[in-house]
Amino acid sequence: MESQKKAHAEPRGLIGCEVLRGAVEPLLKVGLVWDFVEFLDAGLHTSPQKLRPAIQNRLDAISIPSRIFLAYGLCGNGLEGLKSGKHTLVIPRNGDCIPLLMGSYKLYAADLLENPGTYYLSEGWLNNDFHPIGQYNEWLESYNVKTARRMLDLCFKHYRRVLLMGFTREELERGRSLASEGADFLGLDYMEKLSSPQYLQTLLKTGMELTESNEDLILLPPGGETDSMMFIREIEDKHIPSET
Amino acid sequence: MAAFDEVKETMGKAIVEGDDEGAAEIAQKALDADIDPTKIFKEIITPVLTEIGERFGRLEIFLPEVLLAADAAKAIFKVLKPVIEAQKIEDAHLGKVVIGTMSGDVHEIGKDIVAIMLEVNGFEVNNLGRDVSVDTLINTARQENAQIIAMSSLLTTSLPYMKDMINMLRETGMDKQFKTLVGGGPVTSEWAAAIGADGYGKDASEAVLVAKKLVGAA
Repeated sequence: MESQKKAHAEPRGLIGCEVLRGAVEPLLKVGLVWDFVEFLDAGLHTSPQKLRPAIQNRLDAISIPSRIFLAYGLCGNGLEGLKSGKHTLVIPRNGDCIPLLMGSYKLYAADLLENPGTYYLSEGWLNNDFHPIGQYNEWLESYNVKTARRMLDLCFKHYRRVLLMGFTREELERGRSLASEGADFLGLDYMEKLSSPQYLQTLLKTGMELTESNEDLILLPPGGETDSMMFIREIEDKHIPSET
Repeated sequence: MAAFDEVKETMGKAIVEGDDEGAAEIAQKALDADIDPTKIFKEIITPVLTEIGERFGRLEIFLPEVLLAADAAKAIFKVLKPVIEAQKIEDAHLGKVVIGTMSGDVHEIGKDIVAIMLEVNGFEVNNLGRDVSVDTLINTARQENAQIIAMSSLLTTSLPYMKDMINMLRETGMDKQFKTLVGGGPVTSEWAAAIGADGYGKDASEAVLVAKKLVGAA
């Protein structure tokens, strides 16, 4: 314990979205020792203007300068304008959390190109009621059936499939019924993907050792502020024009 | 004037409520009463959609309500378009725009509103839809002798294709032939400047203003 304390004199913490709790918590038990771990309300992503102050308030409330992993992506610009203050922040360089659940950014980017119009789901999304049927039921509280159904149709007009992701077969089994029901409800194809947690595990570990930003992680030193451009990556396969 | 005021009130309400069928009916009644469709767009639809965008920004309404309102506006445009087309005179044609949502991205409602607003404001628009490759945008722009290539993204994964497009235009010298206009949720003026886009529109109204500047019409 004394050697571990010496290895990370700077407190090590994680603040993440509740949707990612199930995916992240098991990984935190392996390897590194974390001084604090907190998950914020899953619903914040629907209102980026609320997400930023929620995270900022938590960061500002931590009195000891710490290295903090933010288990988020840009999330609808919700992480734009975030100030690190006295802390060092480590943030995945993604638009949202899907690459973390899919097993890598590259896998996600490739999947989007091959299957545009995919509704990505995980057990975390399902448990927090962020799925087609949950969404529809929420709208029914404020609108009539016809309007709620129209909203659904407009939101998912060009979607082709629902993809349930999970790090274990057990996760997929637990989520299958609700996810496939959502796909049927929308008239979409249903598929599953057994993803690897290795990518997320690696990000968590390397994030705590990072001395500068890399392809996958943004390192925001004390006194820094995020901007949305930090979250944008280069594409791997550059365009080759068919005519010049 | 009374007829227009009535249209303004009822159509505005239909858009806000996302009543696409009602909005289309009101649009047809407006045409039957010889109300100028361009006036409808400029004095009813544009301010209503602008206000909806502002309310969305203030979290007073959320995305589905914005989508419903946009859908109602599209329904109105469908009714008014033939008359607007017939009214266009040659020197009112400001230029041609090719517009699309970038590869891997199927979000298009915001882009569709931009396309409608550009058309109402004197541009000829070819809306290529969603998940549009750089190739398709460029080739269509060349075939149609467009002046502006307009690109939309709602996913950060599709943003780099905007950069790819602009780099390609520069490398081939086609940047002298086409102006580029970008917009969409994660798109910022800083991003637009960083990739060398000729223009950025944070919303449909601004996109129209910028497009006019790009063709020297404002």
